[in-house]
Amino acid sequence: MKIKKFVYDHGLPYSEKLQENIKAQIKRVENKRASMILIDGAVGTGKTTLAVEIANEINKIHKLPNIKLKIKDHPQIALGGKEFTGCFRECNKQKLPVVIYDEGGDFSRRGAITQFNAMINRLFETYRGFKIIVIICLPNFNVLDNLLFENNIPRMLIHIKDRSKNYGSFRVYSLSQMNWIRYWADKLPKGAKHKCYSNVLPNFYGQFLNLPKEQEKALDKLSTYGKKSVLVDTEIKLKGLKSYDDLAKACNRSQLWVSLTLKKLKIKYKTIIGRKRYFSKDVLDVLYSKLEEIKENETRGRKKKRS
Amino acid sequence: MVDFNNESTVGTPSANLVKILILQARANALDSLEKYNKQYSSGIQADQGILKSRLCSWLLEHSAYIERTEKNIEEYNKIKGYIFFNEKDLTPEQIQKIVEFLNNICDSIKLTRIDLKKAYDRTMVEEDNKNNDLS
Repeated sequence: MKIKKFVYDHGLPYSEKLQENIKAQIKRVENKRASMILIDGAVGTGKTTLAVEIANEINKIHKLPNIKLKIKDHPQIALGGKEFTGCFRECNKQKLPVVIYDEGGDFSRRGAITQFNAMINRLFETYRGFKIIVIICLPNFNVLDNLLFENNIPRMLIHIKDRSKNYGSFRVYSLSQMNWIRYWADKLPKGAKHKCYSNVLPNFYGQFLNLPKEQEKALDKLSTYGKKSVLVDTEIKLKGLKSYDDLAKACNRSQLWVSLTLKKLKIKYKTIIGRKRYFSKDVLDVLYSKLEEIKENETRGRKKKRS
Repeated sequence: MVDFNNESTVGTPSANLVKILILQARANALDSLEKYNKQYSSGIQADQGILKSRLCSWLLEHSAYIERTEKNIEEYNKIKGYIFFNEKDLTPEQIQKIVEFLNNICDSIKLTRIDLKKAYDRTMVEEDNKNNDLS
């Protein structure tokens, strides 16, 4: 029976050349210069897997353990833009050398790309001296802002081309090559935009293996958890569900008042998602009418007092 | 040719003028060497007068630099002996040594060095970035 390998003979889960380049990035960061490694590729090609492997090796160089992949504790891997700045701050606090941004379904939302770009720009302007390597996993690096490229912040692009059961293959491009890819992406017609990668010569090719089973399971759990939360958000938005908090904000009253009035009116919640109770849209109209009633009663009371 | 009677020469930095003068001396010396070789190989007893005097002026262009830096001073003194204090004709080996020595100096002061572009490892992404002014 064949034993599944998780590292090559040189002791790394990916090509040696990539490790040399990552060491160059570590040197760059130590000189207080910003460094961002981009990993892009289609869905399921192993972007996050490779990012975790790289992060583990960077941690190893700094004599730190592998990155934590628990749902409640993952300071070095941010699932979506919400967590990213928090993770960055946490890494600075704990003196961790690398942080991964996993898109976590961010780019499937409208307006998320501009938000993401604004956040990244601000982050690198503020925290450039933090000595932290940022690894960003995203489906297509062309969504990134021009300003980032003008500031020479992305240093290397790892484009994952293919993945089989046991290993994946990637191509690495330098910043100048990235600029050429962007040029071709602009020039080529919509249907042939994917050809922009093959129009530019990569700096080198490489392969990477899968993560060990335990880590792979933990990563799968974590990334699906991140994507699930986005799914839940979209489900709530689509159905127009309202939580106690949303209702209280809309009525400009406390949550306690909302819960008590709903109890009085004998209105039951529609669903429970993630321990939160959600009500249908119509509840808001009922609460508004109740508020109007209260106001009328108050004005009547005042008039009686005056008379 | 550097024209010292021309007004524009006055405004030119001396370092640039000297560079041109050295290159001129080199070109003249190589020209006379070519003529000498032509005669020598066809069996005619060639006169070394022009060749010697041109090599001499080429050497003098470099002499101040060599004496100041004291780089290869021993070899320089040897060559000086061949050109200045040698009443006999130069042997082909001596001519070769002199031209090689002077050519090497021209190369070391980056006068005749044209392969200045540094070769770099393209597989090192940071080096590629640096080479493209994206550091």
